[in-house]
Amino acid sequence: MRISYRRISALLVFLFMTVILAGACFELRAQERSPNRINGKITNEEGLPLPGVSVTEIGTQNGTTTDEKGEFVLTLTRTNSKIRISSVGFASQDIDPAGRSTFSIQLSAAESSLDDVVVVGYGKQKKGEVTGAVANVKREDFTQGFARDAGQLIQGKVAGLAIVTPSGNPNATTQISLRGNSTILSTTEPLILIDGIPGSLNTVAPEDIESIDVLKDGSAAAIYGTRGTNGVILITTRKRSGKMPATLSYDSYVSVQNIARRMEFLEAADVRKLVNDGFYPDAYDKGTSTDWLKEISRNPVSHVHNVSLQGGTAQSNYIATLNLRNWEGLFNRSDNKQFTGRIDLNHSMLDNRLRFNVSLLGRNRKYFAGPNYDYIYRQAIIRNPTDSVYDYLGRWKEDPNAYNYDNPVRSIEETSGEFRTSELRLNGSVIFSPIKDLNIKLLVSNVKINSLSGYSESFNHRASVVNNRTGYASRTTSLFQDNLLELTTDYTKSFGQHRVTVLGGYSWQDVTSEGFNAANSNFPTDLYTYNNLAAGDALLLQNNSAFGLGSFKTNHKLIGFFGRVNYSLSEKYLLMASMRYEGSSKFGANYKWGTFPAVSVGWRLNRESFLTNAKFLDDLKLRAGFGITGTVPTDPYQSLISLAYSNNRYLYNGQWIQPISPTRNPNPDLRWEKKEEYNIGLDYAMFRGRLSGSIDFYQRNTKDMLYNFPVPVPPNLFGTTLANAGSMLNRGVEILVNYDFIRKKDIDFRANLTYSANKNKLISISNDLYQTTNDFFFAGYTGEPIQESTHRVKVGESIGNFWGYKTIDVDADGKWIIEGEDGKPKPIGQSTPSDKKVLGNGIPKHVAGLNLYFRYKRADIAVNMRGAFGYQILNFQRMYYENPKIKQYNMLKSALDPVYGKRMLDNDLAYVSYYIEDGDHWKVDNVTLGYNFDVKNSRYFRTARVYASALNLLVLTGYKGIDPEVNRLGLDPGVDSRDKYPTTRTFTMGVNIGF
Amino acid sequence: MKQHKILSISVLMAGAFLLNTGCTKLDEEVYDQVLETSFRPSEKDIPAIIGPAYTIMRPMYAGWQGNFDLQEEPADVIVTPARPNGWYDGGTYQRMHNHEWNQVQWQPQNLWNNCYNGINTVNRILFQIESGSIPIANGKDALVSELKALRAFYYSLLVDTHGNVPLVTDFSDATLPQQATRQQVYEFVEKELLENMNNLSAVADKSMYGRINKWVAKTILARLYLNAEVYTGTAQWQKCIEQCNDIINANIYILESNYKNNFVTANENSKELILAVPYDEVFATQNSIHMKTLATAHRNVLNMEETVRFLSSLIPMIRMIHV
Repeated sequence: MRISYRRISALLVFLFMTVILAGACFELRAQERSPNRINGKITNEEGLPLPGVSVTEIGTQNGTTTDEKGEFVLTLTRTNSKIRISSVGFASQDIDPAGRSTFSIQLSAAESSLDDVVVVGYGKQKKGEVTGAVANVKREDFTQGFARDAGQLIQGKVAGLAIVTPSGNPNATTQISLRGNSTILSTTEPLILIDGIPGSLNTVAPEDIESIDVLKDGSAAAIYGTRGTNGVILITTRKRSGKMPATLSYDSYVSVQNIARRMEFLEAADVRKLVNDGFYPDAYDKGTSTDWLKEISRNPVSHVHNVSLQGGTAQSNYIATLNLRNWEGLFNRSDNKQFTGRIDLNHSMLDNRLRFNVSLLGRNRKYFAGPNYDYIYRQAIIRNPTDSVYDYLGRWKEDPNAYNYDNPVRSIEETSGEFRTSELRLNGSVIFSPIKDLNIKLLVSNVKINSLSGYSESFNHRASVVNNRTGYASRTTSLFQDNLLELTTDYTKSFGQHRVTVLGGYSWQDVTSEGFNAANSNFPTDLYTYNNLAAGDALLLQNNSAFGLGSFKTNHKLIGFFGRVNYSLSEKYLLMASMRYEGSSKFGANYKWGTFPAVSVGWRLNRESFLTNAKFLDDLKLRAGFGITGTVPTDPYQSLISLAYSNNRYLYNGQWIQPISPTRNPNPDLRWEKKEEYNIGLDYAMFRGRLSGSIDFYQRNTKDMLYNFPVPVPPNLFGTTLANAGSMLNRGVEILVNYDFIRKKDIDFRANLTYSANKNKLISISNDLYQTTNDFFFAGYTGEPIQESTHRVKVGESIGNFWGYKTIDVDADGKWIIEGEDGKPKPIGQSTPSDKKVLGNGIPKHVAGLNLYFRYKRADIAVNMRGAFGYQILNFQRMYYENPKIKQYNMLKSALDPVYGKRMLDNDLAYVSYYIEDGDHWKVDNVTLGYNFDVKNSRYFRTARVYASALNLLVLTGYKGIDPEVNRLGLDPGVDSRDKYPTTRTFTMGVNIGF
Repeated sequence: MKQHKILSISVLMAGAFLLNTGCTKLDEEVYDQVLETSFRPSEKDIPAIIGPAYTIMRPMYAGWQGNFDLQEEPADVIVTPARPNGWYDGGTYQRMHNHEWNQVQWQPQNLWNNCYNGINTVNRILFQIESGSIPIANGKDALVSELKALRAFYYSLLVDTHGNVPLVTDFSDATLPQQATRQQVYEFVEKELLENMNNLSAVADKSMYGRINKWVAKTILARLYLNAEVYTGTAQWQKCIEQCNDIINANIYILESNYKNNFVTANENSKELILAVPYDEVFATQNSIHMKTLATAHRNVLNMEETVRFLSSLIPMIRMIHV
C-alpha cells in the first residue's frame, strides 16, 4: 500500500509538471496584430544592455522580454495602454508611450527594498511579494573586516537569528540558532545551502558571498521538508549576468588579536604574600615567577587575500576567485590556513532558451592538529605562578603527584600534528526554457571532502613519560561524499489581474561518510613523528593501550518531491502554497515518507483604495503563514536491529573471544520530528523607503519530538529507545527597523535595529507508547571533580533551566548555607535532592542588534552592536577556582574575598547558585572606519577603499567571566565552560581595490 | 505543435525514469554494522552469543559505582573521602556512608540495570535457542540449564538488594512486567537452581572458569538459604548446610594453604575460587576500583598507565565473588 501511495504521489507531481508545460504551450498562439508597435532598448545605470527584462502592457496579458542586446519590440493591443518594465533586481518603471514608439530606458538597481530580490527555496522572489518570514542581507550590509565565516557577516542583522562566537579557536565556526530551541535531541543547525547545494558556513570565503537569505518560518522552509525545522540559510555566491568588461578586484586585510579579557588569577607576588601569611605552606613557593598564560600565548597576526576576476559577453560570462586565509590563533602554534578557488561559468544559447552553469569550488585547509587547547588553557590558568616552565637542568617541570595538572607549554611543544582537508564541489545546471517563462532545470552536484590528519607525541611528551612508552602517533583519514540531483520546472503566467507561478521538482541526495584510522606507540625514535606508524612496537606487542585501528562507513539517502504555487491577484493579494513529500533512509520501516505542506498569504494594504491617499506609505503588507517541517535523526540506522561484536571480551575456555549482542532497542516507527509553525508578520516601508522593516510573531509546536526514552528494562533490552514522542512550544516576536536619518549626496546616516524575544516551554516528553516515570531529566555536566548535572529539563518549564542548590549564606565555618525546600536556611551538609531549585536559565529572553552607518563624503564609519538580556551563565572558572580550599591549583584572586560579605569559603567544590551570574550584556562588536578614494579620473582603478576595523571591541556587562557570549545551543545552554579557547579582540586593516 | 509533442514525451520519459529506477528507493545501506537480518549463527557462534550474559558481571561488580561500592560504601571496609582532586561527587559517597541515599543514587540503580541487562540477555538467548535461530545439535539441555542458573544468580542478587522485583522470563513478552513479592523471587531462584542443577557441568577447570557449573549453582543456593529468614521470614539453615556439604564433599574445592594464592594476578588455578569474574588488562577492563583507592603518584611506583585501566595485581579480591 505504501509503495503505491508513494508512486501515486510521484505521479501526481509529474502530472502537475505536465500541466505546467501544457499550460505554457498555449502561450504559443499567434499574437494579435495592431498598429501600436513600440520598440526600445533597456540598459542598466552603467549603460550596458539588460537582456531578459520583462516589458508588459499593463492590464493585459500582452508582454515580451528584451533580447541579449537589451532590445524589445512590443505591439500594444490597446491605444491608451501604459507599459511596465520590470526585471528582478531593478526598480520597475511604468511608462506612458503617449504616442512615442521608440524608447531608451535606463533601469536603476532596486533602490526600494521592495524590488530587492530575495532568494527563496528553489527560486527568487521580489521582496514585496514574499509571504513568508524571509530575511535578506546583501553584500554591502555585511559586517566588514575579519570574518571567520558567513555567520559573522550577518551577526546581529537578522532578527531572531542569534549568531554567537563562543570560542576564539581559529578553527571554530560561529554558532547559529533560530527562533529558540525546538528540539531535545536533534540538531539545531539550520540547513545551509550554497547556491542550492548543502554546505557549511565556512564553505565559501566570506569575501566571495553576494547575499545571505534566511528562511525563518515554517511556511518558507517547508519546501525543504525534513531539513527545514531550524531554518534555511541560503548563501548566494558572487555571480555575473549579462555583458560586462573584464574586471579584477582585490580585497585584503591584516588582523591582530588579543585575549578578550584576562581572568584575574593569583600572580607570583600574591602567592608569596600568601605563603608569608601562612595561607599556603612554604613549599608552595617554587621560587620563580611565571606568567603561564603569556607562556602559551602570542600576538597573532592573520591575513586574508581575495582576488576575483569577472567578465563576459551577453552569452557567456565568468567569475573566478582565489582566496587565501592565513590565520594565527591566540595560543602558540594554533592556526588555520585555507586556500579556496572558485570558478563559476555561465553560458546561454538558442536565444537564451538554453542556459548552462558550471561551478567549481576547491578548498584546501590545514591547521596544527596538536594538543587540546581548551585543556591547555585550563592548565595555564591553574598552574602555580611561582613554578617554572623548565627545571634547573632545562627539563620540563612537572608535579608527579598532581592529577590533571600538566605543564601547558610542554603539551604544545612536544606534539606534532597536522590536519589537512580538501573539499571539492563540482556542480552544474542546465536550464531549458522552450517557451517564455517556462524553465526546466536540472542540477547535479558532487561534494567531496577528504581529510587526512596526523598526530604524534615525542618521547619527552608528558603522556609518553607517565604511560611508560616511547612516543605515540596516529593518523586518521576520512572521505565524505554528497551527491545531489535536482530536477525542477517552473512556469509563470499572467492573465488579467492574475499572476501564477508554479514550481515542481524532484530531489535526490545520497550521502556517504567513511574513514580509517591507525595509532601506534613505542617507537624507536620520535623523529618519524606520525610518518612511519609501522615503526612502533605497541601494535605488535600489544603491551599497552596506545595502539589501535578503526574504520567506519555509513550512508543515508534523502528523496523529495515538491511543488509550489504562487498566486497574485492585482499584486494586492498574494498566496503561496507548497508541499514536499519526502523520505529518508534513516526513518523506520513504518514511516519512510512524510508530507510537509505549507501555505502563506499576503495582503498589500497600501494598494487598497482606502490607503491610496496615504502617500507616505511605500508598502504595507500583512503576511500570515503556516508550515510543517521536520528534523531527521542525526545518525543513520537508528531504527534497525543491529548486532555488534564487542571488544569487551568474554573468557571462554581460556580464550578471550568477542561476544556479539544487539546494540540498541529497535524502533520501526522512528520518524521525523514534526514542527508546525504559525507566523504572522507585517512588512512596512514608508517615506520613500526611509523607514522600513518588519514585525513577525510566531508560534512553533514541535511534535513527535525525538528523545532517548527511558523504557523499562525488562522487557526492553536497553534502558532507552530512540523514539518520537513529546512536544515543545516556542513563541516569539521579531522586529526589524531600518531608518535612514540622512540621505544626501555627501552625508548618509542610517540605522538598523533588530530585536527578538522567544519563550520556550517543554509540553511533554511522552506519548501513548512511551511514558516516562519522571516528567524531567537532567542535562549538562560539571565535569570532574564535581561530577553533577547542571540543568534540568522538565515538562512545563523552559529548556535551559539551571538546577541545583540555591546558596544564600555561609556559616561560621565557611560552609554554604542553602535555601531548603521549605524556603528556610539549611547547611549544605544536610541537603537532599528535593532542596534543589531552578537557579536561572541559560537562554536569553531578549536579543537585540543595532547597526549604525554614517558616511560623510568619502569617509564612512559602521558600528555593529548587539546584546542579549534576561539569562544566566554558570561561570565554571569561578565554580572551580574561586574556592580557597582547593590549594593545589592556582585560584582566582576573588577566591580570597569574603563570601556574602562574611568570611572566606571553606567548602568542598560544589555546584551551587553562587556561581550563576546574570549574563546581560551589550557588545560593541564591530567598528569599521573606511575611506573610498576618488578614482573617477584614474585609468586603472574602478574602486579603491581602505578601512580599519575592530571586532569584539567592548562589552558592557556585569558578568565576571571572559565573555558573556557563551554556548546557547543544546540542553545545557549558558555554560561558560572551564576549558574554553578564550575569545579574542581583533583589530584589522584592509583594502578593497577594483581594477 | 512539434515542440509540444517533444515536451510531453520528454516529461513522460522523465517520469517513467524516476518511477521505475532506484530514485525512490530508501533502503538503508549498512556497511559497518551487522544487521540481525543478515546474521546467520552456527554452533561455533554460541560462545560469542552467550558471552554478553556473563560479561555484564564486570561492570556489575568492580565497575564505576558497581556492586562493590553498593555493598562496601555503606559498610565498614572502605570509605571514599573527598580529596583535593575530587571525590566529593555531589555527596554520593557520603550519603552511602551515612545510609542516607535517595532515589537518584547511582549504585543501587546500577545494580538493578546490570542485573536486568544480564537477565534480558539470558531471556533473549533462551528465546533464540527455543525458536531455533541458534542451531544446537548437542548439549542443548546443558546450555539452557546453565543460562537459567545464571539468570537465577542475577535474581539472587536482586532478591538481596531490591527484594520485590519483577520476574521476567519470556523475551517475546513486551508488556510491562508485574512486580513479584520477595517470597516469589526467592522461590523462583530456588526452583530454577534445583530444576537445572543436574544438567549443569560438574567439572571445575579452565573450560568452566568464570561460568556457572553445578557447584556454583549450589553456592548460590547456599547463600540464598543462608539469608532465607531475611527474604521470607523462614530460616533454612539445614538446606544451607546440605548444599555446602555437597560442595565440600565433592573434593574439588579446598581452602588454599597459602591464602595469597587467591589474590595473585593469574588466580585461575586457585582451588578456593568457585565463581570468578575475569578481568584483563587488555581484553576485559572495567575495573575502576584503583581509581578511588590509589593516589595519583602510585602510578609511578606501580608502573601503571595513566589511562583508566585495571591492573589485576592491585585489586585481586574482586577477581572472585564472595559467595
